[in-house]
Amino acid sequence: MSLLDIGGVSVQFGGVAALTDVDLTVDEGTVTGLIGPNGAGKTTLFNVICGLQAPVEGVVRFDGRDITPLKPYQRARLGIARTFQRLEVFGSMTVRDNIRVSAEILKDWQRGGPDPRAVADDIMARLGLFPFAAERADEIPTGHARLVELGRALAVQPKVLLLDEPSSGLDEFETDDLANVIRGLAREGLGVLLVEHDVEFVVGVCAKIHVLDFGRILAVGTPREIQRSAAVQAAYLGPRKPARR
Amino acid sequence: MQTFFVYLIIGVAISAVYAISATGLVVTYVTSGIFNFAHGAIGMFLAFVYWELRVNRGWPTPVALAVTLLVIAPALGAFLDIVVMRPLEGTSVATKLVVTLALLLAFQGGAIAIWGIELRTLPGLFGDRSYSILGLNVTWDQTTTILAAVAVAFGFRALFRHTRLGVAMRAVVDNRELCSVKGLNPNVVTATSWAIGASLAGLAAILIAPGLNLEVNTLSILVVSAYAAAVVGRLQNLPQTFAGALLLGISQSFVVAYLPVENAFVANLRPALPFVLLFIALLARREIRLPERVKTHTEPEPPPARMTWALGGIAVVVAILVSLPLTSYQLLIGSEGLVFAALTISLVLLTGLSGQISLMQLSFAGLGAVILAKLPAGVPWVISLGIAALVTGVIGALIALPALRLRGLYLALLTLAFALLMDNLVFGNRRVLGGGTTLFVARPSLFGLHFQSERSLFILLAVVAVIYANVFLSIRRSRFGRMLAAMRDAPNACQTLGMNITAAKLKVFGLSALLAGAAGAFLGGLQARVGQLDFLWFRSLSVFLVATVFGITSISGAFLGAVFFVVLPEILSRGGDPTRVLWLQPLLIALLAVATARRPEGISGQIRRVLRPWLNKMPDGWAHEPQLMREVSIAG
Amino acid sequence: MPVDGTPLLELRGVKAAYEKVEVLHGIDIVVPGGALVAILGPNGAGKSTTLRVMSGLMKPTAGQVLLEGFDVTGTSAEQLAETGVCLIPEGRGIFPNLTVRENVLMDTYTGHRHARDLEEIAFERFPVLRERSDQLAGTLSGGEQQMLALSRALSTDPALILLDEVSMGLAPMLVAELFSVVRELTTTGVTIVAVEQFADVVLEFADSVVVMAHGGVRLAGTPRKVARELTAAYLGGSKR
Repeated sequence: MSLLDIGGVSVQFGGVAALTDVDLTVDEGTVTGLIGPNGAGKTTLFNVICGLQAPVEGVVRFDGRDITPLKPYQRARLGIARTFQRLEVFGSMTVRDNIRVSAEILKDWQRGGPDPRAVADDIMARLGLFPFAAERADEIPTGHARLVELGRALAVQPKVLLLDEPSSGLDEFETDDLANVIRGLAREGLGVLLVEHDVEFVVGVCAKIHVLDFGRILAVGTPREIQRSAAVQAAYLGPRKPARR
Repeated sequence: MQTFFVYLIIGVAISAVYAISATGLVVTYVTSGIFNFAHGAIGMFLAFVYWELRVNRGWPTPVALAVTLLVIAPALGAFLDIVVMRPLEGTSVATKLVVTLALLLAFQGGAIAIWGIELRTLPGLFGDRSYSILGLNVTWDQTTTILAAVAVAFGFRALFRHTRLGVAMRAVVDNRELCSVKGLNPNVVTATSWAIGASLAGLAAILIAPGLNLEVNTLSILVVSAYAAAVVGRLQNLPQTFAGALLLGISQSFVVAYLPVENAFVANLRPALPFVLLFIALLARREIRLPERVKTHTEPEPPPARMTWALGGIAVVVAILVSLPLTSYQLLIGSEGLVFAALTISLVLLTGLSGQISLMQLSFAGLGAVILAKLPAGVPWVISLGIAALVTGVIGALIALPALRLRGLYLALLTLAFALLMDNLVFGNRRVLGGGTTLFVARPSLFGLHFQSERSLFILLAVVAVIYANVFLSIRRSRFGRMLAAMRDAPNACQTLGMNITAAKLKVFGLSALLAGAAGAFLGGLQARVGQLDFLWFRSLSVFLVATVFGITSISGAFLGAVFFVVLPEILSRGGDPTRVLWLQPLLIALLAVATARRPEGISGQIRRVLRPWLNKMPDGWAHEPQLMREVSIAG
Repeated sequence: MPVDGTPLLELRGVKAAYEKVEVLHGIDIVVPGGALVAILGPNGAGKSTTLRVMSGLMKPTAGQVLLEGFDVTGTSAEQLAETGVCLIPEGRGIFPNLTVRENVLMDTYTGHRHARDLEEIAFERFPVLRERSDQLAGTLSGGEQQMLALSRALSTDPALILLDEVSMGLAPMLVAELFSVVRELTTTGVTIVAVEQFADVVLEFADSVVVMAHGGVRLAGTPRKVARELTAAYLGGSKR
C-alpha cells in the first residue's frame, strides 16, 4: 500500500479543466517525480493533496485513509508537508525563526516535541543555511528561500514531503547538494513528491516519474522509460516533426 | 395602496442616488484597484461646492451644476488619482486603505474649515415643484433623480460597449501591463475613471442633499449604502450593484412606511439597514483572491520580561512624580492618553502583530463601558470590569466568526459596518442609554481602593497601561505570538504546517476585543459618563489612523499615538476657537497618515532609528535596527 | 534593414532585480536588424525578464539598452511601443474579458491604421478570428488566443517583435501553425527576438541563438553550434 494515493482527481476552474482523472502514488522511502510543461497542473495537484484546493472528483488517501474531507491543517498533522512554487516564506522573520516557528507549530499540536531552537539549528546545518540564519527570509535569493521552505517543512516531521520546484534559483553546485539532501530524506523513510523543471535533476533523484500534460497523466515510468517515451518528448520538448520539414 | 406607491416612489428615488454613487465607486475600484473610502466624503464636499455656487453666490442652477460636476469634480478626481493614489502603486491593500480613510477625514475637515459647522439646507434642483400622476404627488426632483440613474445605467453600458475609452477602461481592468505594451498609458485611463467617479459621487450627494441637512457627517455616512450596493455587485458588476441599491432603498422606505416609528428599535433600524445589508453581502461573498504578498516590518525581539516589568515599574514611579505638579484637568487629559494607549495596544496586537484590520476597536471599548454601566451597582467594580471585558471578548470572537474568511479590504468594510451598526443600535439607542443621551459609569474601585481623585485615577491608569504593554510583549515573546506573526506573513504556509489559523484568528480577535473592552470600561470610569459621541465610527477610524501613523507594530507607537490623540485637541482649542479642533485635527491626522503611509514602522520607528546610537548603549534587545521597510501587511 | 553595423537592439551589461533579488546578473545580447534571435533556457533562467527589460516594462538596475544605437534605458513601455517595439507577452497577450474585435481595437494605440484595417489583416491571416469576432477572447481556445495575440505583430508594422513563449501550453500542431506565421514575418525584414521552451522549433528559423541559465548568458552562436549542446542541457546528457 502506498503512503499517499491519489485516485481519479479532477479539478475545474470556471468550467476549464485543470486536472482530469489524475492517479498518482507516492511510496515511503522513495522520491517520485512529477514533470510537465508550464501550466500542466502540477501546482494544482499539490494544492489538492494538501487541501488548499478541493477536487471536483476523486479521492486523496493517506496511509490508507481517505483524507479528502480534511482541512489543510488536519492533513499537515497527519504528516503531509509542502513547499510553494510561489514562495510563502514568513517574510518578516529571519531564516532561523522561519524554521523555529515551524517547529513551534509542531509543538503546538504534538506534545513534547524537540526544542524548536535546536531543530532550527540542525536543519539549517543540514541545508547549508547558516550563512543566512540572521537575514530576513524575504531578502535572500529565491533559491535559498526555497531551501528555507524545505527546512520549514522538515521541522514539522512529515511523512510525505511535496516539493514544488525546489532547485529553481540555485546554481549547479547547490543543486547537487539539494539532490543529496533529498536522497538522504528518502533513505530516512520519507516519501517525496518532486515537481521540477530541471529534468537532469529529476532523473538524478527519482525512482519513478509521472508526466503531467494538460491536466492529465501522460506517462508513468522509471526515468529511463520516461526519457525514451516519444509522447513525453513531444509534450516536453516540442514537436520535432513539424519543425524538421 | 396609496401609501405603498408613495413610499415606493420615495424608495426608488433613494435607490437611484445609491446606484449613482455606487457606480462611481465601482468604476474607480475596477480600473485602479483602490476602494475609495473617501467616495462619500468627496460627494459631500462637492455638494458644499454646489451650495457655495448655487446659494451663496447665486449662480443659476444649470451653471452651478455644470461647473461643479463637469469641471471641479473631474479635476478633483484626477488630481487625487495623480497626486495621492498613483504613488501607492505596488503597495499593499492596507496602505491604500489607510490613505483613502485619511482622505475621508481630510474632506470632512476641509469642508468644516471652509463652510463651518452650521446646518444648511440645499434647495432641490427644481425647488419643491411637483406634478400629479395617477393621483400621486411626484416631485420633479424625484423624477430627475430616477432619470439620472437610468441615464447613468444606460450611459455606462454604452460607454463600455461602444467607445474607445470604455473599451480601454475594461482593458486596463483585464491587464494593465498589456495596455502599456500596446502603447496605451493605463495611468491616463485610471485618472479618467477617478474623474468620472468623483462626478458621480458629487451628483449623488447633490441629488440627495435637499432631503437632508447639508451636513458633513450625514452625507459622508450615506455612502455606506453605496458600499453595500457595490458589494452586492461584488465591486464589479453594475447591474447587480443597481439591484442592491434598489433592494436597499425600497426596504428602507418601507420600514418607515409600515413599521411603528415609536419603537426605539425600529427607529434605529432604518439608518442601520445599509450596514445590515453590507454585513449580509460581505458574508455571502467568497474570498478567492490569493493573499497579497507585501513586505512586512520586523520589530526587534522584545527585551526579557524581567526588564520590561522593571521598566514598567519605573514608568509608574515617574508617573507618580509627574502627577504631583499637574492640575486635575491636566491629569484628566493624561489619564485619557493612558486609556487610549491601552486601547491602541489592543489594536497593535490585532493589526500590527496578526495582520487583521479592525476599524471597530472603539466600538469594543464602548461595549465594555456600556456593559460595565449596565451591571447592578452592588457588584464590585473589579468583578464588573471582568464581566465587561469577558463579554466584549466573546462578542469580539463572534464578530470574528464571519470575518474569518475575509481579508484586507473586505475585513475593513465589515468592521466599519459593525462600528456603524453599533453607533446606531447600541450607542445611539435611547433604550440602552436609559432614556438619556449618556450613561453613568462608576469610577474604578479595586481591592478596597477607591479611585475618586484625578491623581489616583492617573496613577491607576499608568499601572493599567504598563500591564497592557507587558501583556502584549509577553504575547510577542510567546510561541503563540510568533505563530500570529507567521500567520500574518503567510497564512497558507501556516495551514500546511499544521496550524489551525481559524482558531488562532478567533483567539486573537477575542483577546483584542477583551483588551479593548476593558480599556473602554476604564475610559467610562474616567469620564463618568459615556454616550454616542464617545464611540462614533469616525473616532474609531481616527484611532486606527493615528495608530498606523505612529507605528501600529510597536508599543512605543501606541503610546506616542495616544499622546497625540488626546493632546492635539487641547493644543488646537487653545486660543478660544473651539471649531478649529473640528477641522484641523482631522486634516492633520489625514496629512500625517498620507505622509507616513509607506512607512509601517511609523513615526515611533523612525524616532527609534534616529536614537539608535544612544540606544546601543542600552542592554540587549533595544539596539536592533528597525529595518527600512516599505510596507506593513495588515491585510493578511 | 540597417547594414551599417549598428545592431537594432543591444543589451550591454544589463542587470535587473525584483525587489532586492537580482535575477539578471549582467547580460550582453546583440540583435542585428532583420534577424531572428532565439533565447532558450530552463525555467527561471531570466528569459522573460530579459524580454521585459527589452520592452521597457522593467527598468534595469545597471547596464544599457540601445535601440538603433540610441540609449533607451528607462524609457517607458508605452513610448517604446510607439517607436515600434511590439511585445507579445507570455501566457497570451490578450484581454480575456474583451471581445476579439475589442482586442483588435486595443491595437490602435500604436501605428496609424484604423481598427477596421487591423481587423482585415488579422482576420485574413486567421479566418477563425472573424467567425469569433464578437466572442469574449477568454472563451477562445488556447491556439486561437495566441493567434489573436500574434495578429498584432502582423497588423501594426512593428520594427521589433518580442515573442515570449508563443508555444506555451499549446498542442504541437498549433505550435507549428503559429511558427509558420513567425517564419512569414522574418521574410518581411522585421527583427524578432523569440523566447522559447520548445527549442527545436525555434532552431529551425533562428539566425542566432542565445542560451540563458541562472540569470546569465551561457551560450550564444549559430543554431547549429548551439543545437549540439542543447540536448545535454535539456535532457540530462542522454542521447535521444
